[in-house]
Amino acid sequence: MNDLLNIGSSGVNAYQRALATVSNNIANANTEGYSRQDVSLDANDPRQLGKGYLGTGVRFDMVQRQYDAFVESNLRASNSDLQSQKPLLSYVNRLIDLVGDESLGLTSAMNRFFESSRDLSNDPASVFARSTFLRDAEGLSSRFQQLSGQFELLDNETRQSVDTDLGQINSITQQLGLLNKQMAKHSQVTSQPSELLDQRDLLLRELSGLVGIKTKFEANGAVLVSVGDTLEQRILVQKTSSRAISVSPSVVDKNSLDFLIDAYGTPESMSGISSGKIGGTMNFRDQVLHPFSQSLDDLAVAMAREINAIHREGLDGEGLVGGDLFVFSADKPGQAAGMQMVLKDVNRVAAAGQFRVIDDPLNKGSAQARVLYQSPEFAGPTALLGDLALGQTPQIGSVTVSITESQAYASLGLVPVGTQDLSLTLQNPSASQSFQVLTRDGRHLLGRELSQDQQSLLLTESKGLETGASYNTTYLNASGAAAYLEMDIFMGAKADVGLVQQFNLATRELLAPEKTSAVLTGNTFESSAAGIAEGDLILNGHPLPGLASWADLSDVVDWLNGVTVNTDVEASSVDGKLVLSRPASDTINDIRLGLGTLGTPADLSLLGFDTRISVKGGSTDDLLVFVTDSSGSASTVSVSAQFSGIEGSMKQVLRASPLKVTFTSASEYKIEDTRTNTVVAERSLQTGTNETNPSLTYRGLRLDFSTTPKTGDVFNIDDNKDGIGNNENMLRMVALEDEAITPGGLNMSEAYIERVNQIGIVAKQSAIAEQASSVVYQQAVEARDGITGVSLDEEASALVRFQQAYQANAKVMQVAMDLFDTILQVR
Amino acid sequence: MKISTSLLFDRATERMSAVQNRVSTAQAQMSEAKKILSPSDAPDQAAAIQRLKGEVQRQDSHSRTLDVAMRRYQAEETALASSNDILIRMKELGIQAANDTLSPDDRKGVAVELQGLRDQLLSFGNTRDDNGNYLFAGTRVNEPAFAQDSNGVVSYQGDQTQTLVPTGVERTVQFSRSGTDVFSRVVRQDGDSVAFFDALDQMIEAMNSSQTGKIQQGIADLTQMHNQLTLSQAQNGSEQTVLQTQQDFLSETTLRFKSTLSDIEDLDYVEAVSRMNKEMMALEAAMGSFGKIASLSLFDYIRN
Repeated sequence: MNDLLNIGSSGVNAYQRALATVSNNIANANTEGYSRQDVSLDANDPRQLGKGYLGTGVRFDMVQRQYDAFVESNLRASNSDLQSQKPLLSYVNRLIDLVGDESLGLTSAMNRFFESSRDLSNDPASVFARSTFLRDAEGLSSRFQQLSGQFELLDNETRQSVDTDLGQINSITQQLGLLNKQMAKHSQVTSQPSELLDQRDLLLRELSGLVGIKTKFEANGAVLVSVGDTLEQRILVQKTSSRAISVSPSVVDKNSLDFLIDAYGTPESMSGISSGKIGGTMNFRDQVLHPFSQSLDDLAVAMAREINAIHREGLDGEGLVGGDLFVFSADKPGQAAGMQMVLKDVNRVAAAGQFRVIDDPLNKGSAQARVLYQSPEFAGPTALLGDLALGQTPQIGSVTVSITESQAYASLGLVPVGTQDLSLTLQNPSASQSFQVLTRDGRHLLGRELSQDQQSLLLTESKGLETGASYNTTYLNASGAAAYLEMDIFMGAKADVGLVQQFNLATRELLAPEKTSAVLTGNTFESSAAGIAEGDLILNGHPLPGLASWADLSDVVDWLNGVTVNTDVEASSVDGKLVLSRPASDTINDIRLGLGTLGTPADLSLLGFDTRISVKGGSTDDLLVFVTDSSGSASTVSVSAQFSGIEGSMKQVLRASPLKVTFTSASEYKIEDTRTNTVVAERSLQTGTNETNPSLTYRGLRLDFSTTPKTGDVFNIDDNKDGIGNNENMLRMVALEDEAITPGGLNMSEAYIERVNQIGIVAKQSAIAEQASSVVYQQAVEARDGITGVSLDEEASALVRFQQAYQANAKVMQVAMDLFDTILQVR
Repeated sequence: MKISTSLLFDRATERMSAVQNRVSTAQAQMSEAKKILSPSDAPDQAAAIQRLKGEVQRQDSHSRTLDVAMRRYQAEETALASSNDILIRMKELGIQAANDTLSPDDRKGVAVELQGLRDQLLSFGNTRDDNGNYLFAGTRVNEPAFAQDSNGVVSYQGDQTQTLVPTGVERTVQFSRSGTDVFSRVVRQDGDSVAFFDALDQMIEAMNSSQTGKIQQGIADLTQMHNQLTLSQAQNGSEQTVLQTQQDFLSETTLRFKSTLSDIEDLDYVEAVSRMNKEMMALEAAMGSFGKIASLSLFDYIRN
C-alpha cells in the first residue's frame, strides 16, 4: 500500500514540475533569446521482490535547455555577414541618390556651364550671356562644394556610427565578462541555470551583428571571444575580463580610422574590421566614399586647371587678357570643398581670341583669312647653348665650341624673345672668326654678310628657321630707326653712360643716380705689327681712317684723337690700356666701337677690345646666334654670356604690334611689323600637300586663306582689342566639353559619370549580396528556431499530456488510500 | 520542422510588409509616371540616365544655337533683299540718266533720288540683329559697320573675322558675314578697286555734274555690286538650308535619345497596373490566410 502511495506521489511530484516547465515555456513564448526547456523524467530504482523487480515510481531528473552549439554559431556567422551588407547597401544607396541626382549631381552643373559657354559664343557681346556664363561657372564650383559637403556629412555620420557601435561592443563584452564570472560557480555547463546561458547566447548574437567574432566555450559554459584570425589574438573577452576597442583617425591618412584593443592596458592594434555592422560601415568608407571623394577632388583640380588655362588665353570685354576663373582655398579639407569662382565682373569674361585678321576692304582678290595662334614648335635650339643659358645676372655662363674644317660654323643656340640686356662676348677671336645673328626668317642682324654656301648651311629648318625663310641683309649691323624692329642690338665694343648711386648723407635717403659720361676701357694693350685698314672699325658711326702700324699705345691714342671732332671721343692710355671716353659734359651718349663691312673681331682685339653682342632692353624676336670661321681650318672659340632674365613671350610681342601681310605677287608675300615698318619675313606661299587652301605661319600665328590672294592684297593682324563680338576663346571653352582631360582618357562629364557608374555597380552588387545573406540568415534563424523556439501548440499538447499524467498519478494515490481503507475495514 | 509561434507571427508580418512595400512602390511609380524614382532604385542605370539626360540637354543647347543663327540669317536675308532692290532701282535710274536727251537739271533730279537710295543702303549696311549687334560689322558688333564722316565719306569700321559657332559634334556654322563681303568693293577695268559707298558717291557726283562717261562707269559698278550682293543672298539661302537640315538632324537625334531615356526610366502603365493588382491580391491573400492561421490554436480545442 505504501508502495503504491509512494509511486503515485512521485508521479504527482514529477508531473507538477513538468507542468511548471511547460508553463514557463508558455510564459516565455515571446521572450527574446529564450530557449525552450524540456523535462527529463527517470524511473526510480526498482526494488527486488522474489525473483523479479518491482518499480518504485518516477523521479524528475532535470530541466533540459534545447540547444545546438553548431546551429547557434552558424546563426552568429550569418548574422555577421548580413549586418555587414546592410550599412554598405543603405549608405551606397544614399550616395548614389546624391551623385546620381539631377539637381545634386555634377553632370547637370557641368552641362549647364558648357551650355552657357555655347550661348555666350553665340553672342559674345551680350552682357546677359556673360552674366549667365558667370552664374553657371559659379554654379559649377558651388556644386563641387555641395557634393563635397554631402560627402563630409556621410563621413561624419559613418564615423559616429562606428563610435556608437564600438560603445555597444564594449558594453556587451563587459556583460559577457560578468556572465563568465557568474558561471564560475559551477564546473559543468549542465549545472548552469538556463537563463544565464540564454543571456550569454543572446549577447553573443548581438555582438556578432556588430563585428565578426570567434568563440570558444569552457566546460562550464564560460565564453572566450576574439575578433582576430585565431583565438589566440585580439581577444575581447576571456574569463572574467573584457577588453575595450577604441578608434582614432589614422596618423598617416586623415580619412582612415585606426582601431586599438585595450588602449589603456596592453594595447593591440587591429588591421581593420571587415565583417559585422562596423565592417560594413568601414567598407563603405574605405571602398566607396573616400575613393569617390578623392576622384571628385581630382576632377575639380583638372577642371579648374583646364578652364583657367583657356580663360587665360582669351580677351575680355575691355580687351585685357583673361585671368583665372577658379581658385582653391587651402583651408578646406579637399580641393572640391574649396573650389571657388572668383570672377565677379561680367566684362572680365574672356570670350574673344587674342588675335584678329582684317583683310583690306580694297583687296582685289576675294580671299578671306582666318587667324589662329598655337605655340610654335621649331626645330633647333630652344635656349642659349649649354652653360650660356645659365648666365643670368649675377652669373656668367661660358662655353668653348669647336669649328671643324668641314663645318665652318658653330651654333651658340637661341636667344629667346624677351631676353633682357643680353651681352655675348667672343674671347680672343682669330681674324676669320665672327658672330652671326639671324632671325628665324633669315633676317641677318649682326655679323658679316653670308656667302651662298654659308646661307645654305645656316638657313635650314633644322636650325630653327621658319619654313620658306629667305636670306636678307637689310638690317645687317643697322642701328636706330633702321634697325630690325628698332631693337637696340649692337656688335663690337660698347660702353654705356655710367650711373653712380647717390645718397643724401644727412638723411641716408636713396637719391636718383647721377649719370657719368661713357668710358670704354680695353684689355691690356699688346703691341702688334698688324695694322688696321681704313673703314674696318667704326667709332660712334664714323668710319676710322687706316693705321698701317704702330710702335706703342701712344701711336694708337694719337690716331684716335685725330678724329675726335667726328667721333666725339677722346682716347688716352691708362695703365697700359686703351681708354676711350666721352667728354665729361656728355652724360647722354654711349660709346660704340663697331665693325665696318670688312672689319673683323680680330681688329678690335688688336686695340685690346673684346667683340660683344649687346642687346639693350628685351629682345623682341627669337635670335639665332652662330660663330663662323672663314679660314677653312678647324678652330675653337670661347664665348661668355650674361643677361638679366627672360620676360614675356612671343605671343605678347606679337600682340604688342600689329603685323601686315602684303602679297607682292600671287605666290609671294612679305610680313611687316607696322610699328617699326620692319619687313620681318619675305617668303613664297606654301600650300600643304593635304590642304586645298593656302596658309602661312609666323611665330605660331597661322593664317588660313579661303583661296589664293591676289597681288597687292593686304591682310592686317592685330591684337583684337575691340573685337567684342569675337567668340574664338569661348569656342575653345565649348570644345573643352569633349576633350579627354582626365588620366583615363575621358572628358569631364564622362569621367564623373564613370565614377557614378562604379558606385551604381557597387550598389547593385551589395543589394544582391544583401539578399543572398538575408536568405542564409533566415535559414539559420529557422534552424535555430526549430530547436529552441517555443510552439504554443506543442506546449498545449504537453500541458494536456502532463495534466493527464498528473491526474492519473493522483488517481493512483486515491486507489492506494481506498485500498488502505479497505484493509482498515476488515474486522 | 517545428515552427515556433513567435517566428510564425514575425514571418507573416515581414512578408506582408514586403508586399505592402511593393504595392506602395507601384503606386508611387504610377503617380510619377516613372519606373525609376530615385537613382538607388536602379543604381546600375544611374550612369546611363545621367549620360542620356546630358545628351538631351546638349542637343537642346545646339538647337538653341541654330535658332539664334537662323534668326540672324533671316535678318540678314531681309537686309540683303532690300539692298538688292535698291541697287536695281539705282541701276535703272543710272541707265535712264545716261540717255543724252536728259538735261543737266534732269540729271540733278535723278541725283537727289540716287542720294536718297544710297543713304537707305547705308542704313541697311548698319542693320542690327535682335540682340542689338550690328549684323555686318564682323566682331566689332557694338559700332555701326559703316560710318559716315562730316564730309559724307563712308568707311567700314568692322572687321573680317568670320565667327563660327558649334551646332553639334564636329559641326560648325558660319555666323557672321562682314560688311565688305556684302557691300563689296568694285574692281574696275583699269585694275583700281573702289569701296562700295565711294563708288556710289562717285556716281552721284557724276550725275550732278552730268559726266556721262562716269555715269556709265557707275552703271558698270552697280552691276558688279548687284552681282556680289546676289552672291551673298545665294550664300545666305544655302546656309539657311544647311541650318534647317542640321536642325532636323538634331531633332531626330534628340528624339532618339529621349526614347532611349524613356525606355529606361519611364513607366509602362499596363505593366504597373497589372503588377499592382497582382501585389494587392497577394496582400489580401496573405492577410486573409494569416487571420485564419493566427486564430488556429490548440488551446481553443482543449476543453475540459
